[in-house]
Amino acid sequence: MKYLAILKDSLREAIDTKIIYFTLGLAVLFLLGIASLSFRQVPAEEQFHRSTELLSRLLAWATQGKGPHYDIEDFTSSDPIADPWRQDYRFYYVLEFQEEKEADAFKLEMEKNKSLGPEELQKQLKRQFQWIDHLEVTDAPPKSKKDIRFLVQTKGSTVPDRRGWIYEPQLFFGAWSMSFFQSPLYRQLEFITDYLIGTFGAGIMMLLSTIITAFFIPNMLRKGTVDLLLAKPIHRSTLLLFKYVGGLTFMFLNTAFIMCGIWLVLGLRTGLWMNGLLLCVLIFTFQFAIFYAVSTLMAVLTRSPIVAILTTVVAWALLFGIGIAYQVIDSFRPERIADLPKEQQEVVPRAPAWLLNTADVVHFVTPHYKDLDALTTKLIRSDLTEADSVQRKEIEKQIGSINWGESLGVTIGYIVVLVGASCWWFATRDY
Amino acid sequence: MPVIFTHNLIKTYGKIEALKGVSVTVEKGQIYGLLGQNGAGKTTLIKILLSITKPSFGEARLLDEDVGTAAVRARVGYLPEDHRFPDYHTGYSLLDMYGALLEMPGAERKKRIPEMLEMVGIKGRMHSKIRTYSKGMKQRLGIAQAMMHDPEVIFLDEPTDGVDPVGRREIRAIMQQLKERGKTIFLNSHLLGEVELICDRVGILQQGEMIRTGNIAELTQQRGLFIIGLAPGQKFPLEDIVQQGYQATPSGELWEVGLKDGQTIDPVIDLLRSRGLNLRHLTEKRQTLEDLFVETVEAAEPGIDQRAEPRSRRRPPGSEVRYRR
Repeated sequence: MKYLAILKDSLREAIDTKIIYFTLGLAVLFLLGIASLSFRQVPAEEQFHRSTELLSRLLAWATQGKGPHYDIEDFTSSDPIADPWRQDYRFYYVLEFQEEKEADAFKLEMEKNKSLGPEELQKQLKRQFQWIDHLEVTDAPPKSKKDIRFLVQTKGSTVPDRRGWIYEPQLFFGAWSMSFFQSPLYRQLEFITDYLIGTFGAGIMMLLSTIITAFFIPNMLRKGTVDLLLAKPIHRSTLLLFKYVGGLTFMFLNTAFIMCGIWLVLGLRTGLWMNGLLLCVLIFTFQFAIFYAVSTLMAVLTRSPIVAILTTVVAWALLFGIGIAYQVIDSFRPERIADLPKEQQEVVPRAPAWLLNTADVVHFVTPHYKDLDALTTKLIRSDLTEADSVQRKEIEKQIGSINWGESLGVTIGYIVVLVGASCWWFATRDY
Repeated sequence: MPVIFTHNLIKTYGKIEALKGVSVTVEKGQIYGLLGQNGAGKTTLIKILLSITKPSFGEARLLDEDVGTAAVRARVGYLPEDHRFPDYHTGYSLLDMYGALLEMPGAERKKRIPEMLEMVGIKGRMHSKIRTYSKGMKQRLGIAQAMMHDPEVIFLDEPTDGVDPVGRREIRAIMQQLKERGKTIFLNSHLLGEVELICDRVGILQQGEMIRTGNIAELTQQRGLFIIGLAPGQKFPLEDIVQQGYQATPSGELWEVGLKDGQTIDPVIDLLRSRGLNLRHLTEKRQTLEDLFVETVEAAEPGIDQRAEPRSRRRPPGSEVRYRR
């Protein structure tokens, strides 16, 4: 009952500051933006057409309009009703020249230089359309003397489901097609969830939450306010602990609102339910617990929200810097270099022992903030990529290299020490 | 068993001695008034009793328990001086939060809060934000929060501060009701007239020392001093009165006549009548609490109210004049 009373008090205070309206407004705008986002499945034919159009334009620009025009003709698929990644395709890849002699010259050049022939086109198409499993390009008879054509036949795809297929994002309910962002669906979702939300969104949320919650404890400790609370039958440490947990709950609810909203909206728009996003709420709250412990200690020591905010931001920058520096230094460790290809092993310098030892010590004694970032990325990628994908393997390798016992132990220990020191100070002072 | 008991309570802040061995005893059902100038240590004493501040030395007990336990605080109500309620609350939500901290069940809070706010006269505004309240309304809210859990002891630090005369009378009536219900009230107030009206006992704290304590009736007893006024234009027969063994001193257009042991005022009145003088004013002068306070404080430390006087020129603590009962 007492905890709920303190929690309600914290929420009431947060609502009164008006910053929460800004936070929620921002979140709602972001959610509306995401909700207005649709993903149009790009048919294979359109992808090939887009490729030839781009090539034609480039060539026209380079040759001042004298180059050939590339086109796709007689496009057929094995099963037009099936998902595009489950179909086989057959079409003619056509080069249309303006003059007959230009076509003849190209044919001659093809005979001399094999890099312009069907084999080269096969390589290029395979490189460009990575979803094609099997591709065959052969010469085909021209329809006129001005063209050169190849028969392209594809069989199967490397894409197991829609996540790997090419989609085009459209903002504002299809009003703005972002064709320049055409890419596999998982990459777009990864960009939204991991970078836009997991990095920038979480950063903004963390900063705003730090500002809002930094006022909770100093306001409680104001002369005339603290007296009223201390005269109540509640232990001082309990009171402070409840305030601390109240701050975390505020962050949790705020983050949960946004993340659940994003999960729901993206799920409805794409059909992909990224449950890892929901678990990220807990990770973000845990990350915030580190910084709110700093804020709490400074608030109890100085009773100043400004000092609490500034110290928290400095601690944040420090831990972020330490995390990045450790990752960089760690990549120069001999055992990491041994994992690299042989040609790179000789080029990459080895970090000196003193630097590695210093990095280890500093990393060990500070909260392992960046490890939690890696965990967020893993959760997001798990829903978006296949187990054997490069992206998945990359993050799992990073996750595997983290000593989670040490990471969580040190981070939790750090929080316990800071909050414990705050409680001790609060419990032993005169007010 | 006293409800409030302190013995030789000392509180120091570095070199500053806020309390210098204060001993107080308040019995159940009493209204105890603690008087003292600003900085005398009145609030420090209350804060120690509520364990908001810790004593440096000495014993402090509340309701026959050591101060500082949550259990004893649950039986106490407190209105601090210069209280600052979180202004994002409404009157109702604030009491609801404090009620929850006092472990009052939700249903009881729901019933009791409107009752309390009605008692202090702000029920009509209970759902308005506190920031819209006047100072007097905040003070009334403070009294409501101190009483809402029906505590056995209530500490009120300047409860009528900022309250209009009608409100003061209402607050006095509330205190009287509480007293009738057997509650003990510990009152800090600068308004000595008010203390005199409501308190059973008072203590005067001066620079951390309890320099006088006693019942109101005892402290404000008659001193054998009468005020006499004659009709306009009539001359007061000073010499004849002095000849009869009385002391008389002018006080504006009136005269103060002092009686010695065994004397009564009747011979003076007879004398005035025998001279054909018309008596227009006759009252017995009673010492007010304010007189007592000023006299006691001044005697304990002459010139204390002359703020320009350097501290070094004041009497050393050992040479202070004390009135102890």
